[in-house]
Amino acid sequence: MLQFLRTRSIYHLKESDPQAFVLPRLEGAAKVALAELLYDEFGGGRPSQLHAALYGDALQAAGLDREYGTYLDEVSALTLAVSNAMSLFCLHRRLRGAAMGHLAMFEITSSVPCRRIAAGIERVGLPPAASAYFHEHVEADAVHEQVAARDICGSLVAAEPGQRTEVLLGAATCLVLDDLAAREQLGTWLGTETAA
Amino acid sequence: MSAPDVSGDRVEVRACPRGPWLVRGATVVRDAAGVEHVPTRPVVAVCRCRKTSRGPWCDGTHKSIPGY
Ligand code: FES
Ligand SMILES: [Fe+2]
Ligand SMILES: [Fe+2]
Repeated sequence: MLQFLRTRSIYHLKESDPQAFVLPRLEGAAKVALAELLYDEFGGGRPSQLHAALYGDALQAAGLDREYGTYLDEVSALTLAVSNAMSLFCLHRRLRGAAMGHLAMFEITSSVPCRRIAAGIERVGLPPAASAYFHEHVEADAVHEQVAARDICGSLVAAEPGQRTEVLLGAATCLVLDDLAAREQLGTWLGTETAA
Repeated sequence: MSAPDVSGDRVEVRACPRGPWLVRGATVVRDAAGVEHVPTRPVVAVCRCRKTSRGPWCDGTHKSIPGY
């Protein structure tokens, strides 16, 4: 569990920072919806609820270091790829559709797993602050997946039909990389690691 | 299924196909037992499938209900 929390620190400690770069690259309804989603990711006006800080709290509660980058050297190339794909998409205007497709798929695949991760954290006896981040994401990402898929990606594609393939590229990239990283992670835990 | 029980000045409710109600602008959302919940985010997902473990909020359970 501790290794899992360290691995996830690569993205969650800078959660939503990449997507914030996309805001000036969107217009109209898609922009409004991304701003609404980001406001929630960035705490909804309450510093204590900043998602990246909630993750820092989780690390701290588990006896780990909440400083960004502490566990950079121990994570796998695939873990870095998951995070780098977001940065790549989010930092280029021509890839903004892929950035939002990735975001939507990330949110869509978050709520149910977060419920199970929170249960796992509690099962091994870590304190409530260690699972609070994941409990928050059960509810938050049940909202975000609707906002990201319908209001961000839906509005973007309605306004610019050419962005459809970009959105799908981002969504597919999220699924492929997360799947590879998860298989690697499970392989490590089960002792069946194969060269990726 | 009937609309969610919400209060607020400018409430906007939208049904997501095979998903929750997406509610903007509610100041209070009442669950099935009539207990009041105050939204802490600008937009909330209110369970429409009645199977959530965190009522009134959607927790993604609707995805595992066959045919919903
Ligand atoms: S509508 Fe999502 S859990 Fe009921
Ligand atoms: Fe988040
Ligand atoms: Fe989210």
